[in-house]
Amino acid sequence: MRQYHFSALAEHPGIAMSLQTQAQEAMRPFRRFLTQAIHTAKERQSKYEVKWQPAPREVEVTLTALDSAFDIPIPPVRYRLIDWPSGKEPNLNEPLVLLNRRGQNVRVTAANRRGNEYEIETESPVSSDDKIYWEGEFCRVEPTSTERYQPSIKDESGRPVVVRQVDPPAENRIRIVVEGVLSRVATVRLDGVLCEVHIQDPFEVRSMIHAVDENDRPFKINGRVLRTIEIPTGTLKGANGIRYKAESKKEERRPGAWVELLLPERVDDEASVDPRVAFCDGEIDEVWTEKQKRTDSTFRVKRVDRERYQLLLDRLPPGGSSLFLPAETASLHKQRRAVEQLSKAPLPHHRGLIRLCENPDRARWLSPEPVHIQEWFSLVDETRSGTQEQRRFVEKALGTHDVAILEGPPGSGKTTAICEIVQQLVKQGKRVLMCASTHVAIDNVLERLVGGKVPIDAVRVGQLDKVDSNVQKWQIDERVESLFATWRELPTFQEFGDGALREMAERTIVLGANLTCGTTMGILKHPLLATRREEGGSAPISTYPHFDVLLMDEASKTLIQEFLVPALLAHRQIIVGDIHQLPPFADRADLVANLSSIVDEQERQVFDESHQRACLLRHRLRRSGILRAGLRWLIVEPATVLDYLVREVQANPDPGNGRALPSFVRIVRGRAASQKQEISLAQLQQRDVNSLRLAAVDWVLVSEDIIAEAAPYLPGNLLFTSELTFRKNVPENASLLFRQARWVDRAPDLNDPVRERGKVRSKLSDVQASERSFFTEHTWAGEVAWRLTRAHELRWSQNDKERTKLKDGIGSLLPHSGNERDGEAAVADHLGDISDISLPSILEVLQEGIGEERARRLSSFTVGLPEHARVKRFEVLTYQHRMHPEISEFARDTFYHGKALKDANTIGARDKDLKWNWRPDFRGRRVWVDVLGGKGRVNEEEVRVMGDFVRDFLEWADGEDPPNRKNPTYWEVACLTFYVRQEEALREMLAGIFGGKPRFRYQNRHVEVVCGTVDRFQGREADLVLLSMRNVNRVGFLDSPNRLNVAVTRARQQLVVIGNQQYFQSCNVSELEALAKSTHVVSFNGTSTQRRPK
Amino acid sequence: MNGILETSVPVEKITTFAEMAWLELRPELGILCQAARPAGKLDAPVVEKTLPGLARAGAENLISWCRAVGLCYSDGRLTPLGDKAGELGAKAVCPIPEQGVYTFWISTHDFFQGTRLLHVDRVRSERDGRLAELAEIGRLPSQNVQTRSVIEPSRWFEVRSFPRADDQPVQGRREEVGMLTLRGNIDFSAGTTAWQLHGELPAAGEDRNGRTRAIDMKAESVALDLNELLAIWSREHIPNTVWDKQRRRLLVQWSDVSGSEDCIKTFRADFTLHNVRIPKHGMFTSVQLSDVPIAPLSPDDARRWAAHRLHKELLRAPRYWSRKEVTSMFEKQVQGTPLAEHPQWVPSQADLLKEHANSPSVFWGLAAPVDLSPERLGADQLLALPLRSVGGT
Repeated sequence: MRQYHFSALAEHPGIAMSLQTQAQEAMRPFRRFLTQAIHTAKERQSKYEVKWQPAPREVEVTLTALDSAFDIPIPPVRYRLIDWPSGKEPNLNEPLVLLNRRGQNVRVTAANRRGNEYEIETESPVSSDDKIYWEGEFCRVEPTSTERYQPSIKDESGRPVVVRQVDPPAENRIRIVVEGVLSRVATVRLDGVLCEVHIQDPFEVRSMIHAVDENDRPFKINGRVLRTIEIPTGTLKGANGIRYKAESKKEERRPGAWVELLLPERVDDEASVDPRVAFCDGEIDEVWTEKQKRTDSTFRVKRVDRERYQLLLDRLPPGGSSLFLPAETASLHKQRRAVEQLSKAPLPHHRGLIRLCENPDRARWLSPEPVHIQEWFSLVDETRSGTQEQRRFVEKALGTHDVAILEGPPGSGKTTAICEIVQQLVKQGKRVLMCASTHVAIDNVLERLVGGKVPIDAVRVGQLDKVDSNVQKWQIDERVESLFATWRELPTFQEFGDGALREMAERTIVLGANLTCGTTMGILKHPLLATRREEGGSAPISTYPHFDVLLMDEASKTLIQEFLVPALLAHRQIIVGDIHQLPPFADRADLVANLSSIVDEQERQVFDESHQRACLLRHRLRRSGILRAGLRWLIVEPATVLDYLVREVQANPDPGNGRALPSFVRIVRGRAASQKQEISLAQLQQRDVNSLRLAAVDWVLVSEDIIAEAAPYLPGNLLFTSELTFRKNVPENASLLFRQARWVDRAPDLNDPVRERGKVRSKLSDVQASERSFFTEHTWAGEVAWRLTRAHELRWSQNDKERTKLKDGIGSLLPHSGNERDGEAAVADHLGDISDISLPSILEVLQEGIGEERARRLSSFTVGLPEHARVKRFEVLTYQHRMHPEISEFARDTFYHGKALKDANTIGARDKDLKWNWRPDFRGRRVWVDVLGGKGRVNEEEVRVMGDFVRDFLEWADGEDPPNRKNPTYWEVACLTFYVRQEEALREMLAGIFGGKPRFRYQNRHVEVVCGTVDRFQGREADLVLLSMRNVNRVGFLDSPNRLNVAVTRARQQLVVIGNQQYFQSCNVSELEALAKSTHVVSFNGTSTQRRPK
Repeated sequence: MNGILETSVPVEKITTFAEMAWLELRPELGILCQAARPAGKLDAPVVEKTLPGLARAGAENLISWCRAVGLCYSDGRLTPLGDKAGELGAKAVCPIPEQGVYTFWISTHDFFQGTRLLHVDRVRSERDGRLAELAEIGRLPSQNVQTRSVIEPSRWFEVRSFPRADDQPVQGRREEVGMLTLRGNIDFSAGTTAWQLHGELPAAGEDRNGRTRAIDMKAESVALDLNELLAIWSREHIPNTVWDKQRRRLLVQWSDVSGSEDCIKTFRADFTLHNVRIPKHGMFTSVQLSDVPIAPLSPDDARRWAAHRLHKELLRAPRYWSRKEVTSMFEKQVQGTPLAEHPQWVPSQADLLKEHANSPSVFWGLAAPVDLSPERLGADQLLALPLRSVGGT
């Protein structure tokens, strides 16, 4: 029915067809990619596996006393006087003398005649066992009542007060506990007598109050707040007789079990992202203890503590199990629906997005409306550097008919510009949808907006525990519950059930909001995106323009298909970000999974695993340094793999390194075809002359099903690409193994060693071990995935050589045999789609495109906006307000070429007030500490040096006042590194300094120390940044200009780089060399060296 | 007196892009409009008071939404829709807008005073047609009129607009589908009408396989001037009659009813008329009128009618009838009927005998009492006698 949609939005019927075609073509690769991604997710069902351990957490329970305690003087006890002479009148002036208590005197306060006897009252208790001497008479007493004293207590107005406990008398007083909370000094009627009592503080105790809950579980109370792992059930009864009501925060009341995720052992040494982040930062509802979903192995996630990598599950998983993260498809389905809608069923308000699908040079770009703003709300200081640029962008954004783009380098005031835009739009009565890739970005803006001059009614979509505590009251569920609670009490709503009333409350809140915000993933849970049941998976994303504007922050981290989902809900889109910082996080696991199982639009396999394996073998064993005389290989693989391998080698004779194709022979079971370079097993066993060829060829190919039979006849001077005894039926005592091992041991070292990734291998055993390890651990998909990712990371780098190498590597991995479905062009096409769609951000494609040579279909999504349209929609903020000028200098020159990151006039004033004076001996705000640590996954020396600096800073801060500024009110220190393993080591180091094992934040007086990888720290800043390079003799992915830019632009006052400066000065990566050469070198003890010339 | 009208109405379907609104239960908006009714205006204080818990900004936004869906005007005054919602309160339904491609089933007949929207289906087809299939639609369903579906009576909707860029004409497909029967039941006595469509529409969707959906329409009432209507119909379709508007009966000639004993006796008749018109409501194939009250058109008709009734009564019970009894019986046949509104004469003895000459039992029953009467009747008593009381029905 797309013709109807396009005829409605086309400005002229004549162009409807053209628009339809172009939209379809532009969206086709996205549709294909998402079909692939969904297929992959459904197949693998789970991604990431982590171990865990129980994480008992204390919760805070607030106690409220339900009873009051006070003491009263011991009431007079009446006694019957025994053995008193009849008729004698007692003399109250004479005390009783207690002969058995060393003559203790007890005053008699009253004596009343009762018949023939007297009844006396004494000042203090007397026992019936006491021997009494009174007025010269020996006598005894007996209490007139054997019952314990039960006071009658009423309040001032005469209402009885329930007495809960009467303690035994002590020190002339009796302690009474009554129900209810009385004021500190209360007036009561005690036994009919009005008196004042002083209520004891129920929490004032010299020692712990022991209490039990309704299940008789013991607790110790030491104040109004009880910190406990188990939440008490019902009321606590204290040993002091007082009952306490226990209330915990709603989220802490949830039953369940906290578990801490452990860093997997198998995390790549080069990993920059911790797999646990996927568990904690995503919108996950459940985890599994098996790779595939089953009811009994599914655990619901109730809450997430992302700083501690802890999850609150509905119950404790079985001990020793692993937790698997489901490969969720809900967001992929929604993205596909968005793509489908744009290509098949766009609505009139999608005209702007359709324009992005058109050939940019032929599209009719509307000029923005001129806008004149009467009153500014956030951008009020015209003298502040950058204000004019921000204002210019706000005007462009308000006037655009389709898109507006703001490039905002670090610290340039993007958030302020965003706040201004939102307020201006709300003032115009517009409805705004705001999205970003992280919760922090959303909540930063929201916190600044609410309570401002322009009245904003905000609703925050997303899981409550992911939302910053300062803005949690705007979270949708909180708002719904609050409104529901208010309405529940009103007579107007009594006729409605709870469910119906909640729905009404939710609708009211959604419709009443003029600012709706959430992450690009979280926003998928917005009620407007809920599917009508009858439409199922094909429902359009948008059926009405509910929002006037979409504001997309961190757009440099948002993929196009992620952008499309919220974009379809709004008329216009304002996109904010910085393409010089990190691109969208390319989940390596997802990328590998997609590449492993390439399918076409009908979900038919395009490039099967055997073919992939063959291409991997061909690529690896034909590379320079390996394909050479003296290195001959025995390749044992499944028959199908060998079939493909033969085809691949024959299809592409020239590997491009000047060598001819490798010579090979394949052992086959049946009849051998000599032109196919085959030898039959029989020929081998009969020692046919043809079998002599085995002694000469580079590769001997034997399939797994016959290797056991062929092994005795194979020569021993072959290196093995795989372990033969495991799953290949070659017995451990096979002669081939001994012969080969002997040969390897005795073979001379290679004259020209094999060099790779900083390692040099001259021994054959090392070469064999390395290749074997490679073929065990690596897959074709993995090899392609990291190259694609790296190539994308290096797109702005000046390192052409590395880029070319990566491109060549990918080329070398492509199949050279095959037909139009699985041949080189087809697979390259799929790879192109995967990399064009899963790697670049929406901001990048609109600003820069993906490169015309890659763009098979011209649209703004591939070649960017045309210049004449771009200038009217684009603005860059050129000033930065964050970094000290000595810190910003490097990034400004290296990544922004002087065109941005200029130092604003606010920095001087800020720093003057702040009076930063840590390590004046450094003589520079950007310094390098030259440390030569060890190679490997953790550079311990750098960790140690960083620890020294942290201690030094803490000592300095101890002697300083808190920073002189409004916010934050403490010094912020960030310990950063590029690698997950190194980050783990830094955390352990910080735990050693601060004690305990929290994961992320350490608050010590007025210092907060955070720790993390550079990737995760984007968007944040700190006063002092300590950056550990880790690598000592290789670059790794430090050559990514975007990543390096993020790393060196976090610090406000001081940046300390810790690493092997000498290596980086000549590492052949220009940006790193520039950093190493231009940064002032110091040592920890303050000795600084001359800065080397650039 | 009742009438049943029928006619066939053509059904077309139009497929095009539109903005619709489906009326769904929205108690919160109904309650809000209810609270606004006394002042006739929806403003922020009303919202805050009725739906507490919303801040001022949220209240204003909610009012904007009410404006967007047509519950209030820009100044906050309630629209008729808003007023209706307020009347219903917690049971109010409100329009919820959406855009997409829809198939509109419409029928055109003067009775609908234009086009009647019968039902709307959302179109969710994967099969794409060609742009060339689209043409300017021309006549469109009425907008902003709340309509009930004739397929699913619980569904109400309204067409809000036909969005198109730059005022381009609305493009779509129009197809004739078939016919439905429009049937009206008129209760002339109660003055009420009830109209319904009957028949079937093709099922929605591409793969219909000949399936159909039965019309399930709630009867609707249309105000008509029924008196005038009968006047028109009698004039145009029943010759030699006149509709007496005052007394609401059809005046007929004796010759037209003389063949129907039932009509003569009951003063009621049934008619079937063809191709009748209802002013401003078009033509109908047929109308069956039942129980139409009739009366003699002229005195002569009345006289003959009365004489016939007398004649029939005499035939029914042949016996001796004295002149007095004949007179009394004639009176009975006339009094309380439309016949009494005209001058009536008891037939003369001679006429009676002449009338019944061929019925010996009646003849002698009439003659004998006169001829053999012990008291001779005067000649004038045997002449035609005027009835004492004339004009009472």
